[in-house]
This record gives sequence, structure tokens and C-alpha cells, in this order.
Amino acid sequence: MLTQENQAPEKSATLFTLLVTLLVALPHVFHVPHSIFVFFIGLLGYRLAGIRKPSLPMGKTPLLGFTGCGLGLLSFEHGTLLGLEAGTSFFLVSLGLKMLELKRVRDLYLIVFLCFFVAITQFLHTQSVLMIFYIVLTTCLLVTALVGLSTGSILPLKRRVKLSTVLVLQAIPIAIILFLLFPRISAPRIGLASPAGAARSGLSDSMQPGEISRLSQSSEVAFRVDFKGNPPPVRDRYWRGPVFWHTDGSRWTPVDHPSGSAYPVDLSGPKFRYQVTLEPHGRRWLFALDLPANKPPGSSLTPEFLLLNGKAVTERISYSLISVPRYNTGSLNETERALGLQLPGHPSSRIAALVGRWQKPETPPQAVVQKALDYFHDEEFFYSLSPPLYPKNPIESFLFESKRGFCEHFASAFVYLMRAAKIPARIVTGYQGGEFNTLGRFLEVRQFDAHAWAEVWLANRGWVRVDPTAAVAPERIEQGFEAFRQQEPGTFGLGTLSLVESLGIFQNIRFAWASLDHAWHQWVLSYNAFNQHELLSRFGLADLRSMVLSLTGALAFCLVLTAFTLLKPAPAKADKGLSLYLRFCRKLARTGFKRRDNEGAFDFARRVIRERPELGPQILRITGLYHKVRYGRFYSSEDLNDLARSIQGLRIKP
Amino acid sequence: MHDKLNQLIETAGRIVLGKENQIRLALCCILAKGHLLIEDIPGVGKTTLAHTLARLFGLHFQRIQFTSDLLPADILGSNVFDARNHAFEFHPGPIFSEMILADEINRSPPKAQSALLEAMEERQVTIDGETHRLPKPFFVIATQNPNEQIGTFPLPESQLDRFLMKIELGYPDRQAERSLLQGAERHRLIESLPVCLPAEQLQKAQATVCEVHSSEAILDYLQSILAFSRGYSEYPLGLSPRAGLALLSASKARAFLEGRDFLLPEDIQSVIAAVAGHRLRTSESGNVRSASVVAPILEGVAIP
Repeated sequence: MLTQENQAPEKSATLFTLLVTLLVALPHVFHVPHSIFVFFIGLLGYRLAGIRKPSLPMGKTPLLGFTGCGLGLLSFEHGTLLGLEAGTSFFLVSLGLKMLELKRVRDLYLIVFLCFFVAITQFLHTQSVLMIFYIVLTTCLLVTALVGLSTGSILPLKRRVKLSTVLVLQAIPIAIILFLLFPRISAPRIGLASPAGAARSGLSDSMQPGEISRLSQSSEVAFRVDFKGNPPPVRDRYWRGPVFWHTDGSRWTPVDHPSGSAYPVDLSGPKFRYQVTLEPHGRRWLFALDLPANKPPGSSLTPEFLLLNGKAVTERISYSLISVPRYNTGSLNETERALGLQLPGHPSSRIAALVGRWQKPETPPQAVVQKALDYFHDEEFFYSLSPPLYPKNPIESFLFESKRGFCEHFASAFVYLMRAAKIPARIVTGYQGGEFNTLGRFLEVRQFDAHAWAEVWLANRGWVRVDPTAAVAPERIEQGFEAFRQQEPGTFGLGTLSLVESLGIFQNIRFAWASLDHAWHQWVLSYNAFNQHELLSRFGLADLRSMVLSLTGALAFCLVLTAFTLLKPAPAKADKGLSLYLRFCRKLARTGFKRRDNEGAFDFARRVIRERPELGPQILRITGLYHKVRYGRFYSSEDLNDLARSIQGLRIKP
Repeated sequence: MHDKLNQLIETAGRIVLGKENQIRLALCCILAKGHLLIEDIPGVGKTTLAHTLARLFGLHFQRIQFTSDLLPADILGSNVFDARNHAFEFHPGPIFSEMILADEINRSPPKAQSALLEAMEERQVTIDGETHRLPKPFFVIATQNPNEQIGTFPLPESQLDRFLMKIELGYPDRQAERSLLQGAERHRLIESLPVCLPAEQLQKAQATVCEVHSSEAILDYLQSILAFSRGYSEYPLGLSPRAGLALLSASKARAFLEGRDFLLPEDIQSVIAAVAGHRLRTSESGNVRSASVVAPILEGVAIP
């Protein structure tokens, strides 16, 4: 072996390894700076050129030069070797440089093993189903390369690919067992996690008009919900997020509450039970359908009914909730009343006049709310995805001049008006609607479902949700954002989704894909230490000790089994004919014809036929085929199949 | 070719009545280029069978009657001084023919026996330092009387080994014997036989026999038989590797005779009595028929 490993590799082997290396590293094009990836490709290209033109220098000098370039590039792009991205870049550059050292078969082995590692690093960046498929595919190719290295070009490529595919497929059950049984370590990925929140889109902890409409450009999934039973209608799907009280006229911010439990709330009426799988968003809040009646373990409920997780959601989590859509939050304390009426200075005369028109001394607050909604409905207000920016006096310019706005404009203007009318009001942000996947029976809420609405406090009813957007563009609330946008002429914002939507078949494909993705997240990626414990305790493997024990036991069992199969003499091809013939003998033995050990097949056939002449042709045919397969000079697999079929087809009436 | 062989068997069967199996075995022996030993009491048709075969193959035939005073020179020939030429001239003996019938070979003392047996093995004879090649093909069909008969010199094991097969004829059954009694004189019948398979065709057939395929499975069976014979307590000596080769080539001839180009276990089973019977001795003394000698092998060795 040693001599073979020290030989110069065949050209085809080098080419294949280069190709596989490229394929394995390809997804990193999204993860490392472009310059690094281009440098890596360049190194591969230089190596490729070296195959074509052996005079190209591959010695120490160019290697040193390239290494210098690589190190310079690394320090320029990252300045460090710590962290996920920098580590990946460093790895990629090293792999490329190793290519230049490729002189012997041994080096090819090393590169292939490094490639396995590169394949694993892909999972640090993305864990989607697609990536799994891709990695399995490239793993097959890597194994093919290994097979090629150890057999040389004896086996044709097709056979090598087949062999390696079988090997990888055989490994999958072991991988599943290890996945299920190997202790899940819930350690934070120190230094590897991408900077918290920076790249993630989602709601922020303050609101300024224009921020939510920016979210409407993103079709990223925010969370998915599995309902036990039917989901609520679209108009009731308000997913509660951060609540904003304080405003400076343009920006709305939350208020730090003295921690305490929510008020005693009357939560009678129909309940919805569901489970939310929340994508990481870097904040603490957990979205819940208005209003949550319980809280997941480890979370708290603020007095404004916002669920807060114990720590920032930096990994996908899932939690179960019960929500009640009809509720009464009861009384309001003085602090909250003051907060709910806060305004930056006095409202302008135009606003005061507007509010004054609605508010007579005897008018109940409810009627004022209705009048304000009517105002939005009757005046020429437009719901627009691309409203103009209002740098100065945003609320006034919106109300009296442009009258075009997104949900946050309507919500903030409405709350401002209510406060001017001395009705406590606040802004709630979150998501509204979501698309129900009829295939997977789950609700998918995307970033473009982000929404802002208002809540006003009314005596005897507590905080009541009022959505001024619904007064202007009821379709947005009734049908959901995506459906609404399609009706909007000339706005193909995210053309991809809208276009495919118009064709039913694509919708089905999209639903199927989303279902698969959801199932992948729910069943595979969310399999953590807790789930594992739950699963294993069902089989009585509650503690780590017994799990390790059973894992070792299972492994030992598998090894013993393998040893037995390996120790058994490998069945020759001819023995297949024998085993088929023995099946034939068993068949005959059932009807009383037992072949003696020392009886030749032909003698046996003759003996049987003497007693049962009607079986003659069949038995002679089987015997003849058996003779050909077992004793003949040549036989084809067709003969073997023929024999199997004939024996299969032999029907003996007792 | 097979038509001719079948015709040959049928024709021989008209002369040697009721002995088709023995005729087939004898034919196998010839196809496998082996020498044949026929053992039986006098008068059951040993000579007739040999004569018939020689005639059917159109071979030059010589008969040597072995007696207690037969000398090697009587078989091989000798150098005789020619007074006119003042030189010795070689006078070939009866062995210089294509088919020899060595009748009652165990009537002669070992000296004469061994002269024949050496010629059988080497297919050449050396007289006074001069080697003379024997013709091709060259067959010896020897007959012998059962050893317990008076005045016999039993062949030693090593010499028995030279014969590929030993067959026994036995008494004809009732019907065959009746036909024999009713029929014409055998000698005249043999004279009128046509040549079925001329020598060159026989050689071709012999070459084809060598080509018969023996699979791994059949060699497994053959080796099991050899191993069994060496381990079986009733046999003082097991089968030698030469016996194994003999068994293989005889089986191949039988497979060829059956019209196959590969060996079956049945081929081995049907020739083993003839091939191995005289090579194995059971520990019980006396004359035991070959079939019962090899019976433990056929019983005890499973076909893999």
C-alpha cells in the first residue's frame, strides 16, 4: 500500500478530486468574501493548468508566494482568524494551497478527507433541507474519489459511483441512530454564531414610519404555527409583538415597566391552541395570537401582554400557547393612563379642531373612535406600500396633505388623534395574517405580514384593538398582505411570489416545499437535548448513563453482526444457483420428495418424474437450468433469473 | 459424432447381449484414452467385447494369450540376427498394434505382466537399448479371471492402477441369454461388423472429451470423494491423486457420451465403481465386486 500511496496520482484521479473539491466548496461562495473565493478558484485553476502543462512550477517558490498572497488577503478581509466567517475563509485558502502540494496519491487522500471537513462546515452556515441533499450528494462524490484512489482505474466510473452511493446509503441508518442517541450538547456556538441580530430582519424595538413598510419587501419566514384544530379567520390573526407608548411625534418607543404580572384579565370564550416555531430574530419577544392565556416555560408576560423569552431568540425555538380572541383587560392604573395619553407638546390647531369636531361633552369615547375610523374611511386616504417620507411633522402632513400611508402611518396617526381626544391609546406592532399551508396544515407568517395597529382603552371593556388600516383597506386585513398586494395595480414588489401565485400548480409546489421545510425544522433541527430526553425516556433511557450504555450495546451488536457476516465465506456467484435449487428441493420435499444428500439433481429429477410424470417438463427445465448455472461453462444472469422464475412458477398439487 | 457413438453402442449391444452399461463404460474408457481391465469368470463374453470394440473402431487388433510360460519377448518382439545382412533385425511383437487384447493377464507370472504394463504406461518399448514407439492410438484391453481361481498371479496394486477402469460383465440375464443361444455364431457376426468410428475420428472425440468443463462445484464433489476414501476406515489405502485424475477423465468421457460439455455429479457416480473399484481394497479379504466397494463413497459423500 505504502508504495502505491507514494506514487504520482493518475491524471484522471487528480481531475476528479479537483472537481469534487470545487463542488464541496461551492456553497461557501455565499459565506466568504468574494475575493477569498476567487482566490480559492484561482488556486484550483492553477492546479488544473499544472495538469495540462506539467512545466508550470509547483515547487516551494510559487507555494510560498501564493501562501503570502492568501495570508495578505485574509488579514485584509477579516483581520482575524477567529469567528465563523474568518475561519471558513482560512480553511478554504488552506485547502486551495494544499492543492499545489499535490504530488502523490497520499496527498489526494488528504485532500479528500479535508473536503469531508469542508462539507461539514457548510452546516455552520445553513441547515436547510436543500443543503442536506447537496452535502449527501457531494459526500457520494467524495467517497467515489476515495474508491477511485484505492482501486485505480480498474473499476469504471459508473461502478465507482454506484459503489460509493451504496456505501453512503448504508451509512444513513447509522447516522440516524447516532442522531437520535448521541448526547445532544446544547452549548452555545461561541465565536461561530453570526453577529446577533445584525443581518436579521424583523420588527425592531422602536417604530418610525417607514420601517414596517421596509419589512414588506422581505418574504423571509418570521414564524410558523401549527394549530390544534382550525385556525382563526384571517381578520383575527393578530400576532402580538412589541407595544409602543411613548412618542416624540415621529418615533415611537416602548416603556420600561416595573416588572409584574399582567392584570387580572377576563379570558372567557373560545380558545385556540397552537404551537409556534419562531425563527431567530435576536430579540426577546415571542409572538402570540391576541391575547395569550398562558406563557411558555422560561418566559414572562408583560402587563401589555407581550411574551418575553428568558434570553434573546438567537436560535429557532418553538413553544405551545393558548390564546383567547375575546377578552376584557379590565381597569387601567394611573401610570398607564398617563402613558396612554402622552403627547409631545400640544397638538396643533388643525388636529385639535378635527378632534373637537368629533368630541362633544356627551359623546362616549367609543363614538369618538368610530368617528375617527369613519374619517379615515370617508376622506381620501390611501393604503400605500410606498408612502412618501414625512421628515417634518409626520402625523400632520400625513393626515392633511398626502393621506397616503402604510399601516404604521395609520396606527400612529390614529393613536395621536385618540390621545388628543383624551382617550388612552397605544401602538401594537406584530404580524397580521399569514398564509395557511393547506398541504401541511400550518400557518406561515412572513416578514411582509408585519403590521402595526392601535389599542384604545375603553371603560368596561379594557384595551380594545382598533385597526385603522382595516378602515382604509379592509382587504389587507381580510385576505392578508400577499393577497392584497396582488390586487394593488402596478406593484409587483416581490414579483416572484406574486407571479407563481397566479398559477395553482406552483402554489402547490410552494406549499409542498414549505411543508417539507417546516417538517425539517420541526422534526430534525429542533431536536435538542430536551426533545432527546423526552424521546429516550419513552424507551426507558432517561439518563445519560443508560443512553451511553445502550449506544455502546447497539454498536457492539452491530459489530458482532458485521463480524459474523464477514467471517461467513463470501457466497460465490454459482451458489446463487444452488440456493435457488435448494428452494426447489424444499418445495418438492413438502410433497414428499426428499432429495438425498448424495443424489444428483438429474437422478432426483428422474425419480420425481417417475412418480409425477405431469411435472416432467417443468422439473427437467429447472434441472437443466440448474446444471447450466452450477456446472456449466458459461451462464448469463438471464439464466439465473430464468431459474428463479421457473422455481417460483412451480406449482405442485399434493 | 454422438449419432455415431450411439450407433456404435447399439451395434456392440447386438453382439454382446444385455450388457449396454458395460459397453458404455468400455467406450468411456477408450474415449478417455485409458486401458481397460475386464474381470470375470471365463465364458461370459470378455473376449467378445474386446474384439467387438476393436472391430467397431477399425483398429488393428492383436490378441496375446497370457500363459504361465509367456516371456516378455513374446509380447514385445526381439532382435533377431540376420545371417545374410550380418545384422540384428528387430522383429516387433504383437504389442505393436493399435488394440491389444491381453487375455487372462493374471495367468502369467509378473515378469510378462510387467512387460505389458510398462508398454501401457510409456506407450513405447525399449529392447536392447533401442526405443520403439508404439502406434497411436494404443489400447490395451486386458481380461483376468477372479483371483481365487487356481493358477493365477494377482496383479499388484501399482499395476492395477495402470488400468483406467475395471469392469465386470457377469452372467447375462435370461432374455439376453436366450437371444444368445438362438443367434448366430458371435465370431462370424464380428467379422461382418462395419467400422463405426475410424481412428482419426476417435482421436477427435478424445480431444473433445478433454475439453469438457468441470466447474468448481464438481471439483468440490470430486475432492470430497477423494478425501472420504482416504479417511474411511474400511479402505486400507485411499484414492491417489492419479485415481482422482482418472476419475475426472472417465467422468468427462461419460459426460461427452451423454452429449454434454460439462460434468455433472451423476457422471462421477456412474463411473466411480469402474474407476475406483480396483484401486480400493476393502479390509475384508477375497473378491468383492467393485460396486460394493465404492458403495460407502456413494452413500457417504454428499453432493455439495
